[in-house]
Amino acid sequence: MTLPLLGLALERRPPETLVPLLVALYRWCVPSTIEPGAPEPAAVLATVASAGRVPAGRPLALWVGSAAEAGSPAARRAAAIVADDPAVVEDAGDRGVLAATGDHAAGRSPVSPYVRGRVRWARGLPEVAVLSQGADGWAWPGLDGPLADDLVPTAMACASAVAVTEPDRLLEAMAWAAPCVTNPAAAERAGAVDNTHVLVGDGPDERRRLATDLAGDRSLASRLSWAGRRLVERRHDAGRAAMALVGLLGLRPTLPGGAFASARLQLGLLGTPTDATIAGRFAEATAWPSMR
Amino acid sequence: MDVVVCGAQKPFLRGGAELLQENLVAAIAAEGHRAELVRLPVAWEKDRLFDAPLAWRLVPVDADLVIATNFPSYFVRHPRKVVWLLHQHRGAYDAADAAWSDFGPEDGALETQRLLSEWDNRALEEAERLYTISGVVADRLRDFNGLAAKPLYHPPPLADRLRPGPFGDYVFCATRLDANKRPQLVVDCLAHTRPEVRAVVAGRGELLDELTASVQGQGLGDRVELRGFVPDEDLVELFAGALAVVYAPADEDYGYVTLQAFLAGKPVVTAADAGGVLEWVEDGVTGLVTDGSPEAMGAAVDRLAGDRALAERLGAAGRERVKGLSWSPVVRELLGA
Repeated sequence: MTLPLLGLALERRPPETLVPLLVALYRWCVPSTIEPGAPEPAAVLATVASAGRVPAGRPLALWVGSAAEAGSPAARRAAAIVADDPAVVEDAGDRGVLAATGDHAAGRSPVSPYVRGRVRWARGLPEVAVLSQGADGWAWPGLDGPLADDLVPTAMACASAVAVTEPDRLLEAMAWAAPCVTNPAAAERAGAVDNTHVLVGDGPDERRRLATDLAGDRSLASRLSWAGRRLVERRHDAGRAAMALVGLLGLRPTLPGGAFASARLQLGLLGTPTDATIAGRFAEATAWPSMR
Repeated sequence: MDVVVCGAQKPFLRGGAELLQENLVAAIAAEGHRAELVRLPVAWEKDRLFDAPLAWRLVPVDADLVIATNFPSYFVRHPRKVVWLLHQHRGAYDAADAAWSDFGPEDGALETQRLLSEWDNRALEEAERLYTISGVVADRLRDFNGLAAKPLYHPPPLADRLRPGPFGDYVFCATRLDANKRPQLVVDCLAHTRPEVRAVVAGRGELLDELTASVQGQGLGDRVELRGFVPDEDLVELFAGALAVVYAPADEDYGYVTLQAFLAGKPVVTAADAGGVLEWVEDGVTGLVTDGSPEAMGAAVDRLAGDRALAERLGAAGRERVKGLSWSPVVRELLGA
């Protein structure tokens, strides 16, 4: 399989905030500075000042450092707008890609409140289970002491709701698509909005009450669950940002027929684990008898 | 505008979804656009559940706009995708505990449900506009997937031909004879009505033999007619001449039968867990809503048989309720016109 070339026209060293995205892009393409005589890139990531050097007809991703640059002629023709300012990305709509610096969605699959309920039912866990972070650690229904830290991710993946105040643990819980209650400081750090991505409470008692109410409100829990997960993907995960950018630029690894690469990208964009049955079924379906 | 309507095809099965898709294409054409229906086969067992969704991701659909309808056609990729959702794969969601669902408590089933929820959310979220065929379907989407959708109601098949007629001595039901439609209730409730009331059931399905045996077993052979397939012209007559329509499916998505009954000016006797039917049948206003037991359903039918004026009043209110339904506003909304 040959990875497509992503030409870089960034004038200078890549901005620090862009580096994690460039690293994550290596799964899908080869980012490389445009040099005279080098192979033609399949697409280009450029700054506004360098956009004029982009070969004609090549899809353009534009690194935008300010709102003013976002209004430039180059931005209007770009297939993707890449920035480290969430407001610029938001304004760009479907073309916007945030240069995220974390990888909080990696290895954490979203589990909807409905499936969480099925998991608790199948495992004989409490019908309603609120996981809450306090001064003494993590509390889980039925446990006298705190929950062991290595069990917290599992609990985050099956809890009815999670009350959490530590910013990184909030992102972790939202990545698992847990309906979350948090404090104003952690919400702000995550870029989470009250009643859109999380519920915000000032003190431990209020957060516990909100979490209990949230656990019993199926529609609100489902809405926050998915909105929280999407927030993590959009703002806090370079891998998802790379996938989004690859999709916007139409980059495809080259393989005879190209079908496998296209399917692989689609499976990835849908969030499919690499060991999912459908991945194997597709590989089986394209293992032509004449090629074996 | 060139519009492609996308739908799933379960080979050798034909029901409300197929009728809706075909009628939608006709309605789009009637508004002066070109429209085509594209269907791909689907498998519902969990081991093959993702095959058809992945196929929809890869199929090139060239059109100005696509309208996806049921699972998994909304996995189609298009820059202008509109979803008018009939239903998701209910066996993985609200009907996971139904006898026909293959989702149990084992790890593989739970992971399949998890992944399907994620895929559904991502595919549905792509739509530039998200509609459902009823409030019930919108509620499911909100509760299971956290997504907001707007219900968009459309007229049923035969809408232009159904008409009121005299209130006869039989209750009518036109339905597939499948477990989720609960046709057994029509038969069972008759044992709790006055003897002069009859029942006519139109439709085919896997429960035909079971229903036939039940009719005989309850000694209702002279009061229950299982007509099987009935041509459209006969359906119109059967609706027109009925005393009432008995229709109590389990958590129905929409329920054409209800609307057809109302267009024929007939009240509907139903159950409190009938889903989309209850968006139309208001107890004591356009029909009678019961607890779904044969006794309660029978008592409701008996009440109408003993009070024809009530039946006429409820039927007229139902007809009034659906008189504004038409395809034209549905098409305009879907096309964003």
